[in-house]
Amino acid sequence: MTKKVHLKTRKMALQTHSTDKREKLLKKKKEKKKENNSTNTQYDSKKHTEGVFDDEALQLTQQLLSSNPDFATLWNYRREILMHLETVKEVDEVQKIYEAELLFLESCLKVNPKSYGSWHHRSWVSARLPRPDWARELSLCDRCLSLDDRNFHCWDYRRMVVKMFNVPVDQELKFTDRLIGSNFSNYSSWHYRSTLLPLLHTTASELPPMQAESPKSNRVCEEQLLKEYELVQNAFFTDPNDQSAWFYYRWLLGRAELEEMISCLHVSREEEQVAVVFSRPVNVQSGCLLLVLDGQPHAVEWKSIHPRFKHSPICNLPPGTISEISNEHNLTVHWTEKHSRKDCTLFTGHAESWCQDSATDQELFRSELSVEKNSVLQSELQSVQQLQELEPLNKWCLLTLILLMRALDPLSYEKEMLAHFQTLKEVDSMRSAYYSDLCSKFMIENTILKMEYAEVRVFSVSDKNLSTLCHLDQLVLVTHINLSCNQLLCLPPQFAMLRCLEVLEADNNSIGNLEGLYHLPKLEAVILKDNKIATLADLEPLTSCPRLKRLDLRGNPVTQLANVESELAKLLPSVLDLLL
Amino acid sequence: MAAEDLPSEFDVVILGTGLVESVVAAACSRVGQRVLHLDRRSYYAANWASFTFNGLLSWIQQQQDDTQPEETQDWCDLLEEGEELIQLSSQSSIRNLQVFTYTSKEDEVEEASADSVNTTEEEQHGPASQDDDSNQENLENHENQEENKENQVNHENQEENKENQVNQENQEENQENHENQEVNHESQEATITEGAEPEAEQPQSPAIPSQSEPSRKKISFAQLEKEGRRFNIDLVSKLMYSRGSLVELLIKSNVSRYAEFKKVSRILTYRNGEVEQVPCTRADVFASRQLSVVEKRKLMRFLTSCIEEKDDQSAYNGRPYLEFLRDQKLGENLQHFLLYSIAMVTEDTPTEVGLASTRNFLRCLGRYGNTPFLFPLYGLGEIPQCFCRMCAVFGGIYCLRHSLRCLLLDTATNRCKAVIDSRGQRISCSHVLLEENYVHERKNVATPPRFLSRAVLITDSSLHGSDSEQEVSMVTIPPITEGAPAVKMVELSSSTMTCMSGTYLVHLNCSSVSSAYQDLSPLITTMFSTPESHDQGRPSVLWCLYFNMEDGSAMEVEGHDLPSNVYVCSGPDGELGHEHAITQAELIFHKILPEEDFCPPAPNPEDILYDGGSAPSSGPEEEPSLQLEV
Amino acid sequence: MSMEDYDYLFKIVLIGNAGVGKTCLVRRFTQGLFPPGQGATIGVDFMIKTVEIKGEKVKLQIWDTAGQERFRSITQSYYRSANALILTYDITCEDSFRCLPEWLREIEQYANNQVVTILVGNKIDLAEKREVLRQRAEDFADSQSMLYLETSAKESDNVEKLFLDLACELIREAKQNKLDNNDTAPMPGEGKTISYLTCCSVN
Repeated sequence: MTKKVHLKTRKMALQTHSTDKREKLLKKKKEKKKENNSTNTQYDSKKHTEGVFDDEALQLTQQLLSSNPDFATLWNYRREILMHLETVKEVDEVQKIYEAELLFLESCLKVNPKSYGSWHHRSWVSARLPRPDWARELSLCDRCLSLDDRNFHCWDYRRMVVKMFNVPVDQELKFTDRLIGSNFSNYSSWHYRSTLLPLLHTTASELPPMQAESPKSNRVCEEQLLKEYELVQNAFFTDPNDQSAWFYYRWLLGRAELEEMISCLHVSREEEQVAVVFSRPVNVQSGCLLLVLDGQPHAVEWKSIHPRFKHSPICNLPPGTISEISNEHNLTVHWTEKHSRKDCTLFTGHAESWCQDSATDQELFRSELSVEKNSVLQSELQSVQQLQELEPLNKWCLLTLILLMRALDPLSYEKEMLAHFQTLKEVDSMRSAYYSDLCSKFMIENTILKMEYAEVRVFSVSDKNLSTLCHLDQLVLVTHINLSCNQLLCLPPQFAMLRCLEVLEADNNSIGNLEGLYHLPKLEAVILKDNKIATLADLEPLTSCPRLKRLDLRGNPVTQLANVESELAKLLPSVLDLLL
Repeated sequence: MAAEDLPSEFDVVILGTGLVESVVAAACSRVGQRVLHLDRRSYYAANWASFTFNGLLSWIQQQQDDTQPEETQDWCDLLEEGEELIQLSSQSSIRNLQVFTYTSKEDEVEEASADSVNTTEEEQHGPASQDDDSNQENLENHENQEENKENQVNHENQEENKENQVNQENQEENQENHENQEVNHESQEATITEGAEPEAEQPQSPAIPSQSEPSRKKISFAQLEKEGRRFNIDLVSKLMYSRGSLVELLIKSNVSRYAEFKKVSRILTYRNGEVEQVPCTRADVFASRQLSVVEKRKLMRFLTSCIEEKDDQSAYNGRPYLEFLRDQKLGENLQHFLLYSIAMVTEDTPTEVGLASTRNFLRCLGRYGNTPFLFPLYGLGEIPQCFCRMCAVFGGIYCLRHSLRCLLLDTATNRCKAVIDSRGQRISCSHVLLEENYVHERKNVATPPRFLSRAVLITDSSLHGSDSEQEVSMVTIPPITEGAPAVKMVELSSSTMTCMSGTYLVHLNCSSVSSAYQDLSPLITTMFSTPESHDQGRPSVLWCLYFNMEDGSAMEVEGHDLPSNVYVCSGPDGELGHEHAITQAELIFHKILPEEDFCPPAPNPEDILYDGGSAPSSGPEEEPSLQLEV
Repeated sequence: MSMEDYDYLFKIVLIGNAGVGKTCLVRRFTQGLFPPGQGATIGVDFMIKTVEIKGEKVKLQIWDTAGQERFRSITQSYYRSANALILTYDITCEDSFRCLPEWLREIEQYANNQVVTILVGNKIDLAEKREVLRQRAEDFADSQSMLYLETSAKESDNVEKLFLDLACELIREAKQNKLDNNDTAPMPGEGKTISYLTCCSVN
């Protein structure tokens, strides 16, 4: 935009505004504006402090806000004025004032469609309007979103309008259909859809309005779910690099969140100890858990299993209550808050007893789709496999493939899953650590399932490239654990869950931290050959394990310390069999 | 309306108001050249024109009657020393005109018994067989009689009336005929108060019954005539590529302020006897019901990859694009879409050409809408007129119904120094542009002219989907039989202001193999319902026009034994876009004015200061203003 | 479209024979000038004047014929999107009046259905040379349901009134039929990016 427009003239000399001339004019205008602005601001704040709430003040703030709608103080002042006017004017007049306010806001939004101040003020005005016209507001939102479908201010405002206007869910679903149809790379639309679907009932006859309480689970009626799969598949086949569709797909495949309840109860006669495990990590106040022993409530002190892991409490029973081996005891733990309870009976002659929910029965690691609909998942798997053939290096596709395989049959797809993880780490090396952790999680889940099928208390995941440990709450009953030949760096606090653990094999890892080996009552042998234990302090947690007899520390840096043997004897007097 | 004498000196004299001529006129005038722009016709845009329905009927008539010999006149008294005379005569480039009316003449409720009225004299002749005729015609003069006469106010109409009376075949034109007579009558008697008559039908015009009713009433011929002014029927069938040179020129020059445009809303294709929509954008692909998800992926991947030139593509240079597509393992569906609807080429088009077209398509996509095309409201005939307006705004003088008789050649320099117009006035000038119809006799006889086959249909419903009257569709049609031409079809709804509500205007265009009727009627009978096909469920053809038009793409700008400062502007070509015409206009402009900028932006009227006196400054022009008035 | 400083924008188109004073009317109204011996104005498509009517800012875009009427060669596109037409004749020139039906025919052919048409008899400053009686013109305008006004661009008689009356009429129509003022046809030069490719790739 430089120079002048050159015109050939014959009868009349013409000249256009040269650009610099125009700029000068503009500048002048701006300066004038500024001047006005500053004097007005002064005047205004004066008015404000003096408590002037009249039409003139309204006019003034309007002038200022129309040039700068992000002046929060002014909006506040304006609201005060309006609230004052409400008290002195008739309803009809108030209605008119607020309608004018909405018009004014429209002009502000035209200047800056992403102004916090304007949108916030609009929701305030809409809520106070004596006779609101929600249909009009809805169409304003639609216009605004058609210009920019990611304007989250507008999305927020729209949600409020929808709620106030009681827009039926199916109508809103159609709205997202439209937005996704015009541009499917839009998290906002997909996300909005994910909030709508659970509200949609199977029978279309009775559609709940938007304000209905959203249910706990994300359960979506099967018929709708199938439509959603089709829709989202069209999106990721069209553009497999678009994340929003994949995220939505994962949301669809995701299982419902487990109900909060007690999933495991373990009683040990010898330790006179009760351990409780919850289905989800919860912080339970001790008052909420009630222990009933042989019909008698017992006031016990619940404490956390590890100072840095507070989710699964244990308690010690008064000495002598259950120590007599010939007695049978009935135990119940009530979680009063959630109306959840677990019972278990400690039979005569038994040293321990437990009651644990099965991982397979609970489909702990599966998708929410019911078994009857396996065929659906199967066909989803086939489609994604098709896509993977076309786009063998697409990370979203690979990841989704893995998730689908897990939803279908985690054990039989194990080999494919590992292969896909391998490719993923190669094509998306930035996130290889994440994939390792995820793969570890899935391998542990598989091992838990296998252990359950085999009905044993031995947990063996050696040489599986584990980078992290998880689901340790599922391993309360395990007596022998083999973690050797992985890439573990530590035994986390959750490890203290393994109340029955007797033997730990963890050689050939990179473990330098043993904080999870904390008050494990039965632990006798710890094999830590070829790890990264460097100091005596690293071994400190072992002092809390009363029965530790055997410790293999060969190939750890700590063995190079001077006087290590005598120091260890001091630190762990119970250890008789020490390998250095 | 009073007429004045023309000035006797211009820089550039242009005969013909087709697109090329009009663009050059605007460009010259814009940089200060004195331009005289003439057309012997009574309407703008020559073979690029659009007509109301009744206007088109008159045009058809004119084409059929356009054989009056011109009186030869001796202009030698106007010659000066060292000058030579080059006589100019024009010849129509339209052939094989045939009209069929498939709707009842009167406003009847029952289905019309299809009466086809064939108004062609030489209906079965292919264009090639016409050479003898046309050569002969060249000797005759085609100019309208009324030229040279002083008071032309009513002559045109009188002439039309005469023609109408002579012609007894076209009964349906009598109605218009009456109207003309009435208008003439008024004008002659100067009983101005009766001028109300044309206005009388105005209130009725919007009252077209909704066409969505199941028992739709077939639109009668009388209705078409009555609503005739709702039609703007183009002689050419083209679309504007949204990044094509025409659109860029309209923007650059600010000529775009004279017109409004509509987005072409969809691309359709005809395949296996069905009309299908071609997915054009990411959103279309996403929403498409006819493509499997795997096809969606393959299509998207192909289109993304072909944006860039790659080595594996160049290996196919010279080999058919179809072969390249096949080797991409795309499947039949996608091959069809990519070849015919996106590249818009044929089976034997070489790969490099196919890829270039595909890239052009993708480049144009999404600038304005979901397809690469725009269409001007009121038809393509508006575009040359917009350039003429620009020319006039910068001082160009316009004269329709006005022609040139001859060029005066300065024998010493082989340059044309003046022209003699149809009123015998000598006008000196430095450059002359002629539309190609004036140089027919000079064409190389060894290469017979190529022709385009055109058909224009008025139908009662859309080829695909709902009759929302908002859709504007490009329809690509591969050859329906071996050796048949690939046809490009454009279906316009009333929202383009080119046809009355409740009807659709369908343009068909292809390179001629035979006559327009032979080339296009088999396709029309399969795709539409006509008395020959009776296939219900397809759109009914109410009225139909076939003709051949000479293909302007081969015309040379210079030569033709003409003086060196005389340039020939070609007529419409067969391509979908306007590249040929705009390129040619720029070429001619730079031959005339090698140093000047081609169509610099006209100033925004709001920026003009009227302070008199001060001299305009020169210098590079402002960036083209992209903001346009609503 | 950027924020503009007006409530309405109307396109007004002048037609009528050459020499009846169309350009003078526009220049008198927009610039307050009466240029003696003026000819066609080079390079000016239309003139702008913003007026205020009952508190609403109305921008009038007034288009002139660019001289194309001299040889009866006005392009059809000139009429297309006009909101109002000012059909002008010269009260001292019978011929310019007799041509009106021709002009009406063009209007009927090419102009929008909803166009507001006003008939203007110009040059009333030359009353002694009057050839067309006021009554006759009024009757004619009546029969065509046009408004009628007599003006003098030279003396500035009724020129303001002409344009302000038109503006009022146009506002009235626009309010009745709200669609008119904001329907937008796509224009070359502006556009949103929609394509096969996502926004992050080419385009």
